Amino acid sequence: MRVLARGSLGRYVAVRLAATLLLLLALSFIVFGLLHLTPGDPARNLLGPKNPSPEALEAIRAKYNLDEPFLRQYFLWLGNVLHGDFGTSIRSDIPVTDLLSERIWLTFQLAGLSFVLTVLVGVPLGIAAAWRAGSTLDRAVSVTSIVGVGAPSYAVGLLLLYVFGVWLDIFPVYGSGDGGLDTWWHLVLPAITLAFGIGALVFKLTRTAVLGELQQDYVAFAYSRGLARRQVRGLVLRNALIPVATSLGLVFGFLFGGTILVEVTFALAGIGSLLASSVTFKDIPVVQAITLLTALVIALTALGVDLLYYAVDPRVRKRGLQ
Amino acid sequence: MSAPTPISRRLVLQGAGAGALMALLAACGSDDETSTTSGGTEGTGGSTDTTTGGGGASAQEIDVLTVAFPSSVSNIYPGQEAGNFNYYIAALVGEALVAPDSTGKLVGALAESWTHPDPLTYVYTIRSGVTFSDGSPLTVDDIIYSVGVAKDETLSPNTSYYWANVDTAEQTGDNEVTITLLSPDVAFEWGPCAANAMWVTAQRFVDAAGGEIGTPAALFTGTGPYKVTSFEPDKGVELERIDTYWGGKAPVKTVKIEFIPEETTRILAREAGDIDMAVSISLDQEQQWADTEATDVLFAPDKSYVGIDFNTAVEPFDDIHVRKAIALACDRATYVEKLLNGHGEVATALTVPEQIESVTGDAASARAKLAPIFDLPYDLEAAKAELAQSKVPDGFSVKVGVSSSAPQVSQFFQALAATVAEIGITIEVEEMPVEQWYDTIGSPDWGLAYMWYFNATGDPAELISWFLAEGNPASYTNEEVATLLQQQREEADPAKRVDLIVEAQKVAMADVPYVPLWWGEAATAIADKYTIEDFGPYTLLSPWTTRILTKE
Repeated sequence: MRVLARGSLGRYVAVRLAATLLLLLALSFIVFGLLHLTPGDPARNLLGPKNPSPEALEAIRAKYNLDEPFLRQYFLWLGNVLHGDFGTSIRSDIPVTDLLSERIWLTFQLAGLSFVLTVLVGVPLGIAAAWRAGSTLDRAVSVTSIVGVGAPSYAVGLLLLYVFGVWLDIFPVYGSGDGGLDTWWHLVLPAITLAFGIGALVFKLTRTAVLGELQQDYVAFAYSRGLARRQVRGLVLRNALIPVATSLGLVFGFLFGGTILVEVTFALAGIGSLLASSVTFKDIPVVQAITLLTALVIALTALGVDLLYYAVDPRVRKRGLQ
Repeated sequence: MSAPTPISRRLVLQGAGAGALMALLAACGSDDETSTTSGGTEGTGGSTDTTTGGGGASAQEIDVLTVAFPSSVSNIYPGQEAGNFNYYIAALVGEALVAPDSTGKLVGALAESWTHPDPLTYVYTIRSGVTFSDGSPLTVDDIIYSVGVAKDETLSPNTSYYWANVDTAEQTGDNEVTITLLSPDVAFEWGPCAANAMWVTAQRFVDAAGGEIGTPAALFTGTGPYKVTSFEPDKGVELERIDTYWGGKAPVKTVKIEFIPEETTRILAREAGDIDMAVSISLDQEQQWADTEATDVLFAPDKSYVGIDFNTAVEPFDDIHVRKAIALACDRATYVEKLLNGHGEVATALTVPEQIESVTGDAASARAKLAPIFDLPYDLEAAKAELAQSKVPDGFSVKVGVSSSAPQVSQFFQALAATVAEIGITIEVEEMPVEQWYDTIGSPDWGLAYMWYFNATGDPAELISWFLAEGNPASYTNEEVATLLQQQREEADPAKRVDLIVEAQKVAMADVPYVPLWWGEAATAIADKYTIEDFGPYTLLSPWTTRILTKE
């Protein structure tokens, strides 16, 4: 049974990876097409609005294949990507891989730190609030979480900046520092800002899941069979945390793709702020690379989540992934 | 500097929320020790005088000066990307043959002197003893190579048009370069200028960087008072002083330019003492800047022009009565007062006064020259009467595209919309990213548009050689204007040339293809222990860190 399940797991992963590739391919075409349809001309954007000379416009269009028909442009781009060449940014004339390499790492660290904060704060608080449903703690955290979900990250960021950056003078106000620990220190406030809203959601999710399990019949049976409170809680947590754990994967994807506002507020050179300026500039190679990368991270996290589901839920293991 | 974006390509994310939050923050803030200084004109009749650099401040060694820019640059070479901030950075590392002084008059830079023996010929004597930042000497060959770079459409797409009229650049003496034009054009004098269209480098630096200039890998090697040691787009630029600079050692040793797109974050960074200076601060948050501890705010005209463009080839703007009706409905003095908090002045021409001050002698006479060009007063009754004579006497509807980086322009059009609604005209304001706004300029889809243009040079014909020439955004043609434009290109006497430029605008503006609204000011915040000597419209386009003084 286990061997069979493992075989189906391998096939399942392979199929999922193939589907991810297809998804990325379709996405690349859609994004390319949408950018093509939006108003504006990258060559003109590069030269500014003042009567650009036709020769200068032509030189830029030829350099970036913008003078080719739409489909040919797309296939030229795709051909290069299949050879590992993501092209050159129209706006900065820097190879896209160079442009993204450091930025990805920064955004990854920001999302990672934020994820850790979300999990370390949201999950234990959710469990504690569910154990003591209706208590002062539960009510206080629940109200705070409503604020957390509702507060715009822009405002939260500036408030944190004022309190911890200016008033208490603990954390730096902007930028990503000189690498290593200094960068992590610079990322604390942005990570808290980013974690604020999603952490509140994770709290609510955890609380609901634990509360739901506590109302199950098996809990009453367990108590009636004389199991210790600690043992019962262990049972409840194992069951409740399955939906929580799987949702956390999506949380990471959300954090990774949702850093734009925080990066702008804290002047961080990550991929979020780059995506925002590249979209309006119609810097097609950069937008393509960032969207595909973000989609890949989300798709792989989703796959990871399903595998985690497989690992933690014996029912799924038995049934096999579909 | 062709990109007329006041806060170019800047993400404008701060909305009403920013103001509210800042009010909250200010409420818990500390005591203020602030003053607001006006370093330039205040309304008409002002001058580019300075309130700084006087007694009590001197050039002292500053180890690090941290300066926050409101948006990033993608390339530090303005030939590749020509926003204001590219120019401010390039001004510290690159030089050209000539440069503007604080009044906008051209003086020698890498050229010790120059002559203009006939309308087609410019002869420059190259300064000796100049070195590049790596210590190697500047040669005549480097100057000639750099002319080629500035003219090259791929290396310098943003400046090549300026050099299209140049026939040859050749060595004509030991230290002499002669540039020959194809046809006479007095405005060429501003071409070989680092505030406009040339930055001298050497072929070996460009070759060593694989034929690239200004990217984070290639950087830029010039002869200026600083060299770039690092450049990361969206993060910042770091520059180190060149102690052997021919013009003397600058007071600031290290300049750190940081890109901080969010204005409130910039204010907080200043509040925390993390930055010493912020350029192009938002007028919307002027008060918060003024309330920031130990900070001065300096204002100076920035040679910008803001005005309405009518596309005279598009109905109903092909009718002069329609154009006049809208012009008469513009309460320009109130816009300057309310939308700009008085930091600007009512524009009466396409040329900004700072471009003719060095010719007319002072600010007042410059304004007097420009005053009669466009002087339609605000008069809604007259506007109504004009509309009644037009082919759309009952009014019409029109939309206008406004860049989201130009909040004052958006407010202006909303105010105008409210005014003209009374006479039956409906204006719908559509906000859009700055790049989409580019497409509205001169487009047949947008009969009503606007221009926010930053003049780079002190040449009085800079904007009219676009706005009144063939291919202008108003689709405006007038033989008489074309003749006057041609005459000014050939007129070597500066005073006579200014008269021709004024005359061309008078003739054209009688047809109201444009409505000049205001000439703008830029504001710079700086730690109150420092000040900037002779802070004015040309300061940031020349090696500005050499003018940072420390107060005593």
